[in-house]
Amino acid sequence: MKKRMIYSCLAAMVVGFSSCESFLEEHPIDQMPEGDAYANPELIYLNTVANLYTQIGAADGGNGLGGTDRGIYDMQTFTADEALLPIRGGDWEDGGLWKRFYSHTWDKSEGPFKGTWDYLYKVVALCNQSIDKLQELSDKYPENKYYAPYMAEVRALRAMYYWHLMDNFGNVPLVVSSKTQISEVKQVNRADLFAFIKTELQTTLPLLEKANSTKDGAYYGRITQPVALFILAKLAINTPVYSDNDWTDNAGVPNGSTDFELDGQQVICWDAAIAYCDAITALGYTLESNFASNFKKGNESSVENIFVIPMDAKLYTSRYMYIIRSLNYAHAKAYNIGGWNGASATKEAIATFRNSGNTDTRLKNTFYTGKVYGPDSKPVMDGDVVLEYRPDAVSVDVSGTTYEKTAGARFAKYEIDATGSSEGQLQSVDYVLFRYADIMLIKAEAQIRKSGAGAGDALINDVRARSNAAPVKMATLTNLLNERMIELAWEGVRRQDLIRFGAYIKPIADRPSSAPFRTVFPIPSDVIQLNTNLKQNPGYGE
Amino acid sequence: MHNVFSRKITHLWLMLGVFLSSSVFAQDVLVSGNILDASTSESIIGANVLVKGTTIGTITDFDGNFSLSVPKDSELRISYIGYIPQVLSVFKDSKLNILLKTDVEKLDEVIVVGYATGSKRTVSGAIERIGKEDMNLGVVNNPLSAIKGKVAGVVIQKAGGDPAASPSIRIRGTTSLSGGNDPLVVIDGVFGDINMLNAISPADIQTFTILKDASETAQYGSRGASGVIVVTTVRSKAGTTNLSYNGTFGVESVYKNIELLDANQYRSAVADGGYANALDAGNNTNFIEEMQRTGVTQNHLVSFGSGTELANYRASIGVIAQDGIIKESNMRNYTAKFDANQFMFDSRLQIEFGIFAAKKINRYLNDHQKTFYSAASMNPTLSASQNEDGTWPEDPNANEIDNPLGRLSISDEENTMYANVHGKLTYTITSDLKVSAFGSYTYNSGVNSLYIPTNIKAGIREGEGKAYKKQQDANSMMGNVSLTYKKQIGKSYLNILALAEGQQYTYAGFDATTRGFGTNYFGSDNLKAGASLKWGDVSSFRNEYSIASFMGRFNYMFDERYIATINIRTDGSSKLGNNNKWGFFPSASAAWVLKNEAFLKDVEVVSSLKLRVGYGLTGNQDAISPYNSLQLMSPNGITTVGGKPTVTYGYARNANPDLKWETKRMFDVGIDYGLFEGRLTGSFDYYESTTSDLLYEYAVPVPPFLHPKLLANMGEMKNSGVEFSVNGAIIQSKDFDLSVGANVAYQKNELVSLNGNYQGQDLTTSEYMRLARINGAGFIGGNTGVTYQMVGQPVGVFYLPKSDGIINKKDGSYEYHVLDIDGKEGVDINDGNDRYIAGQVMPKVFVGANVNMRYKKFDFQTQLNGAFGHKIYNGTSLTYMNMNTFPTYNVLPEAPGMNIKDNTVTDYWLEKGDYMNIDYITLGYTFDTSKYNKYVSLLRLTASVNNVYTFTNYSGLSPMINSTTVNDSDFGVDDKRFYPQTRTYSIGLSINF
Repeated sequence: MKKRMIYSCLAAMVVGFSSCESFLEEHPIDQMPEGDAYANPELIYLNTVANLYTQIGAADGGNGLGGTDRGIYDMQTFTADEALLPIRGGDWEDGGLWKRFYSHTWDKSEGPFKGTWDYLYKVVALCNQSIDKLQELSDKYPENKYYAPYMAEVRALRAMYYWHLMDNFGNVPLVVSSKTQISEVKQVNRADLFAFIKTELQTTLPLLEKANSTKDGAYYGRITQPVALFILAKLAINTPVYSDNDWTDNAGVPNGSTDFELDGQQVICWDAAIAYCDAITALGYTLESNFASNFKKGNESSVENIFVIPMDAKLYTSRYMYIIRSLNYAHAKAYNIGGWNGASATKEAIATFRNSGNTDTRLKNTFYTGKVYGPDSKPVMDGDVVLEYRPDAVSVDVSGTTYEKTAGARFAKYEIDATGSSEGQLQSVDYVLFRYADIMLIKAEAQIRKSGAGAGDALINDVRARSNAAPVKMATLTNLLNERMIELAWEGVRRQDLIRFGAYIKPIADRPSSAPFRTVFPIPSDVIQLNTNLKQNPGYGE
Repeated sequence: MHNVFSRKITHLWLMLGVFLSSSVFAQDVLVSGNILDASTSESIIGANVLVKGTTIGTITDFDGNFSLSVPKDSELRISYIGYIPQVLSVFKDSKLNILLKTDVEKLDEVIVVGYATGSKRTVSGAIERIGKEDMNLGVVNNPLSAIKGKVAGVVIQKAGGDPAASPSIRIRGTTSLSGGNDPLVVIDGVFGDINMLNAISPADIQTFTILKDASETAQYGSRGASGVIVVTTVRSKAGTTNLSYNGTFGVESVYKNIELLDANQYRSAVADGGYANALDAGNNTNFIEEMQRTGVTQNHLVSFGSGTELANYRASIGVIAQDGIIKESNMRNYTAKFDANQFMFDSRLQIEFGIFAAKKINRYLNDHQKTFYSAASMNPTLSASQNEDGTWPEDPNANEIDNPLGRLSISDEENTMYANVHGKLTYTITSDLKVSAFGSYTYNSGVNSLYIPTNIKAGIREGEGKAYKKQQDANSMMGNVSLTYKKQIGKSYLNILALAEGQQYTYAGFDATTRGFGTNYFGSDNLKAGASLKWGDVSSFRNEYSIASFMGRFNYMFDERYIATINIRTDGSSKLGNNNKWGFFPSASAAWVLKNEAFLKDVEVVSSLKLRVGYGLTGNQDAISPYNSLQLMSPNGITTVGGKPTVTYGYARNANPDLKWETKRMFDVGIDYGLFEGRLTGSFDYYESTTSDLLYEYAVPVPPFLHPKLLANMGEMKNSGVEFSVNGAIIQSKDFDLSVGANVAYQKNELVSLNGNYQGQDLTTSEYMRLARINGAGFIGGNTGVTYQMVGQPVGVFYLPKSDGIINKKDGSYEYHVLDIDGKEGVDINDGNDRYIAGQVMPKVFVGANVNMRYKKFDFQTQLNGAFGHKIYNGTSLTYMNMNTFPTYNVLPEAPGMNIKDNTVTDYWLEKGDYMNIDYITLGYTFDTSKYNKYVSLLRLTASVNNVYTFTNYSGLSPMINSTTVNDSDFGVDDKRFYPQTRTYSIGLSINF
């Protein structure tokens, strides 16, 4: 009896042990094994291509190509000459970040650098995974005709992200496979990256759809031919910048090569830019008759917008913070949205719009200045007085001044969507990344650069005429740069423009001139710490 | 189980019948007497006097007296723990004088050593036992509060007076970087986490046994790395039938409030400083006081039970209720417990059965920092009453703060339910060999409900109100089968245990958020009332994991002199990588009982002396969630596909197929001593532990990684420490007792390395890993980091710019003068530049002390706790001294005079955190119930003050902030979020029938 009991206990233990292996096996319930994510053609498209588009916009800071704060947009906008986030007493001190951005004294450890780097490379890594997966599938099923265009779309998307990486961080690692080891992550110089990006876009262009990407439908928000052409036009016009491996010389004026390979031929980059602009025109893009309708609710119908982040207060999670971040509390409250009372136009920006007395009509479409009226056209009260923005009282630190809370013109370009939620950060106006007016001005610039002042007048005046601005004659590059400010203010292009014109490091109010190495941001210090093979960009120390 | 249970009830009725009949028939005789220790002639208090085979019995009073009415010709059994029982026959009314002899064999306490039971005599590891009599008095609303400060090396802390917050506990410091620093809790054999302790009332606990070192925690293998708290609950003693009530009632007041400028001071500061745009709404409001009230705390427990030699049962029901000093914050905890125990088949089979259940409701004060920061820095000229439109008065420019009174209307509630049923069958095969089977099932559910009303700023921010509901439940099952063999062979004593165990955990839940409410009527109880719901606002989850284990324990003692214990455990966990599922956790310890050696045997002054040494391995896998080792896809976003919103899937994380156990190796050497006939006892321990394969979310380079974090096993952490305790029974006499106890623990921690290898690739981590920072207006982003984690340093150091004071900025205002200390030109306060390690967060030394006194029927107890050798960052003062934010945000009374216009985080506001706190003082009176002992066996009244006084030089509200739990929010940083400490005045009543 006793013995039998002991034996049966021991037997139970042995049985227990042998069944342990299955007891310890994991059968995921609320997450899906990789195989199931590629089970059919719809899922393959969804999880190799469509999933990348969830990354273009973002729900939080640091992520997304636009709409959010503390990311790539802020690096383009608050380090240029069009915008600043003044310190307003207790508000916006933020450890001096915005002051350092404005005054070109940023450090390699600034949060937005790291956030932007991680974000851009995350999308690159996702693209690499998709490309590897699609390669695997097309090796397995060579007869399938879908994999090639899928792959082209992903490669073009990746090229766009490398363009941003190169444009902001200069010499960055080129990683093209999801199997890359840390030790294989090597930096490539800017000119070689430029060549890679250009070739990727040129190769994939014919495989992309011609469709408009901003209209609701099958190609909404996707990389189609006009989007790729837009980036190629930007690459072409910036050739002297991107092909210049030493940006610390020549007082910040880009002095790289102007050679550009187009359809197997070496041409001067200005011709390439013109060719790409013309190719976009050929696809049917034109100016909207009304400047503001590009930034209004329902801008899916814009004939001018080329690439947007689809936004919908109810359907998507991508956020838009630029109006909120700018408006005074009382102003925002009148629209029933949040207001952070921050971002303001620089004195330089306002002066450009005012153009010695001939104030451009686009000023009121771009910034709120002076007395503020609410949606019901009633004045917005700030305590006992009408709220009034003071564009000329702005400076990098307005703490303790009379206009501490009201200094600076505020952002007005986008319509405030009354049906938005989460303080208005979730709203239904698509965020415009690329639009045709930019292309017209690029072509005009290429014409001037190629043939001298006046060569771009026709296109510049087309853009101006839409906003009832008087035509210009014999427009120079300086006129063009000012036109770009007036037309494209706060659209995230200013830093790139200034660098191309050699003007990024020039002094403005409250900021002396800075060193040419500032035209490229530092590799974030954390990134170098984690991968000691990487070398810091010049000027930023070790 | 059901059968056993109904039989049990029948049995109870039978017993009750016997009891009734015996008292009805007048054949009783009256026995009274006095019970004394045979050797010392001291009275024995609480000895059992029981009529054999019945439940008729009593216990002796303070003078060792008893009197009992018993049936004629019955046999009386007189027993007391540690003494040899006596049996006497009673024929007539009599007065007995009984001398009990000590039972040398059993004098030492029986203690639960993990799965095994042993006695202090045969144990060779570092083990502490706290019996009911040693637990803290006063207001004890959480079991951990009952042992706070009692054991060296066991640090229990609760920051602030929030009734909904539970204390934290660390045994021998922090040994893991991510999760798994809470000890394993075992209640009557049931495994659980710290939260499970809330499922029983503190008064239901009989003993805590704390396993500190690996020589015994290795029994729990993968769950034992952070120590083990084994709890046994109260059982009905054989021969007793009782009904008892234990309760306390107390009121709470604020220990100390922060004082900012009042409205008049504010107005003069505005006038003197010439500030434009200052808002003056014409009132004088102290928003902090407006939020406060007198708190009430109550704790009641009713229990009843009965026992014979063959069976016993006990049931209890309790409620703990606390209304905090901040309006709306409160806590309710309802507990119920039932245990039954029965012997069958000639006592060969023992059946143990227990259930416990609790429902706890916490009404949280939503976002402490936002609320207290708002209350302190609100413009004091604003009114304390609501505006006519339902909103609250606010300065529109003070964007970082909300009206705190409005915030109090945020309903943030957590409703948890804990239920466990467990049973154990033990069959005695031979007198030496036993086999037992244990099974337990725990159900744990939690519902979180949050509603932010439409009429307050937070609700407007969210978009016309927000309602959130989260429901989750956990089911855990565990079972084990064990064989124990205990045998005395000549001078050798053997105690062997073999065990196989399985655990399975299933977690599931869902949550939903809606926004856009037209009315506040529904709160979070009808989510449909919210208009807006988008992708990501609703989600659910379900996952599970299992652990299989085999364990062996071998305990050997020779000649009462040499003791050796070996534990061997192997654990397999489903959560780990396929190649690393099993972990092996052995331990060995040895002890030498010096007292029993010839050379000490006759040394009278030494009554006991034992030298212990132990070494063992334990594991930790708490940082790993199920499926972490697998490359899996989950929904990662929504995008338009063909014009239709479509959810896409992506890799949830950087998967790590090599995840394995974090392993802790621990060495301990110690001495247990007793002097002067046991009047002075205590122990001394030195330990060293190394945790390797640290589980941590490492920063990894992007590219090539997709996500910047990777959960991996890398790096190493070292802990060492010295623990010393002494307890002295200084005076023991009939009328007056005085005993004093003290314990001191010194702890040292070092993060040795965070380098490692992941799939053949060398990984290094960031040099400066920021933990807590300062938040608030003007602090967003930038160099606001205060506490850091750095290799070569203790976990949690202050890494700050060095300031030698404030200097005039030329415009009459002042700023912190930061020194250039890195040798590089210019001041740069970024990490890695002009910063230095300015101190550590965790205290180096913890002290606990208690004094117990009894004079006749009065008794007095007090407990003191202290911590030394650490620092606290006073972010509260940094913020409220900054005139840059004035007059939008209110400041401290000294601020306008000093006129500092700077909020740079420097070491200027780093202060010493040393303190000594009088936790409580209790005065008790025990009534003489000898005349009524038929009805009442104990009647005791107490009066207590909790949190009496804190001795400290720290200038903030209290130095008792979070200095022990590593996190990235409040670790070492006092930053405007402190729920004020309370002082509680309470009375207590204990009555046993």
